[in-house]
Amino acid sequence: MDMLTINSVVMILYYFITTFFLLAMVRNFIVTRDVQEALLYAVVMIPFVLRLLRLK
Amino acid sequence: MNIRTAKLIILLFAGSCAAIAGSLFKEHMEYKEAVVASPFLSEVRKLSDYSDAVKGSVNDANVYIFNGPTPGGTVVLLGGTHPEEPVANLSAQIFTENVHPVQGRVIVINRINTSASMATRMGEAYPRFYHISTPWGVKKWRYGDRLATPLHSWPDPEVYVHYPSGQNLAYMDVRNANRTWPGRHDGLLCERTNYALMELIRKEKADIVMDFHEAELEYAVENTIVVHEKGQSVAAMASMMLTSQTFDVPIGMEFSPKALHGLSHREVGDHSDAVSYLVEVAEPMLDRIRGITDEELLMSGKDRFVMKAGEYKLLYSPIDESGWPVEKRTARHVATLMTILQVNNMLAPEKTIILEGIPDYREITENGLGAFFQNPDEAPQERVFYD
Repeated sequence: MDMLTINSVVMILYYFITTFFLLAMVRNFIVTRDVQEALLYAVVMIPFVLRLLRLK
Repeated sequence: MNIRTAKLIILLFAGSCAAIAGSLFKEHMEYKEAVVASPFLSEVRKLSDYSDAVKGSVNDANVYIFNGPTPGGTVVLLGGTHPEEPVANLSAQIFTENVHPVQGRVIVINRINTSASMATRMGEAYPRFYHISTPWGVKKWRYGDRLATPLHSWPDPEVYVHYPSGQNLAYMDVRNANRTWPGRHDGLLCERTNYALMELIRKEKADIVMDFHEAELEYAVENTIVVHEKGQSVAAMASMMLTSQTFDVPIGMEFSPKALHGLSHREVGDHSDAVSYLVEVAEPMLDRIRGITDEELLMSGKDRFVMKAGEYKLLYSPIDESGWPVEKRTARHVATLMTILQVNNMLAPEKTIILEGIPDYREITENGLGAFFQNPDEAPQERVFYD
């Protein structure tokens, strides 16, 4: 198996991990009753969304 | 305000931020630079025509080939190795748009690491684009990073082991197109790109390869020609001629270190018949101690913090109030290549390369760069390409 294939497999796994953490943050955002925490979760989600969309 | 309303407002705010940032990143990534090739263009090929290692990848660059009417030598010009050094691709494009080969051949690639030009360096707040005024309007280029973007080459290894030397290099240098020469067919993106470039150099029987760069003033390899041992006499003579006759700031000449692998000036010379040169010029935008990081600094090369460092003798290049404007930096690269060719013609007449149509140092510094780029809207469409 060449390096590019290995890297592609790792990259796909990485996107699964990114999705997992994004969903965890969405869940926390939904359940929290604290406005400050909700703001924090929303801001932290931005780079995860951009990464999943392959924009940054 | 209840929590549901507050969350809705927060989501709208965060969503707007993501949408604005995303659209800016996307615009940068998808912008295509128009290139109007000189009327003496013979053909345009793709890098993948030389090796399938880059086929379908973002780094499958346009290869502009100009054949003169009389046989002679072949020179390959590489621009855009590090897209945070804009003078590299501007110098290459000056040749692509103006060259008239009278003898020999010129092969130009304006951007060898396109991936690195599609995103800027993370955390540095670099401008996305830079612009140059021309008689027909404003021309725009992508500004970029030193390394290929992780969107195209990821993950990096813990330690990058250079092929074929086995030398250990920094992990991120596996995405650095000037640490992955001579490349390998089944490697990562930059290794594949450089492998395809080596195939081009070998198949086109290049005699000279020139790799254009810029460097921070804090870096010791500055305003110089770095050359493989095969080209020492030519580089030494070119350096003396340019310093005595043309440049206000001298240009030096350095030998390519034999033990430092992955760089074009070492590996191209070692793995092909070509003589490899790499030229550096001062770019204050790259200095760690710079002030506001914007397009003004990139184009004017003026920065009072870098100047202050100069006053304390912390730099390897002089700098004053006039800075290092993009015209002067480009003019140095263009003049350096033309002088290297001139000297090479004397020392190796069977490999003569005579180029006309290229502006000299004075013409570029006095008229500005815009005078030497053509309008893609008015040019014959068969000569308009996009990088």
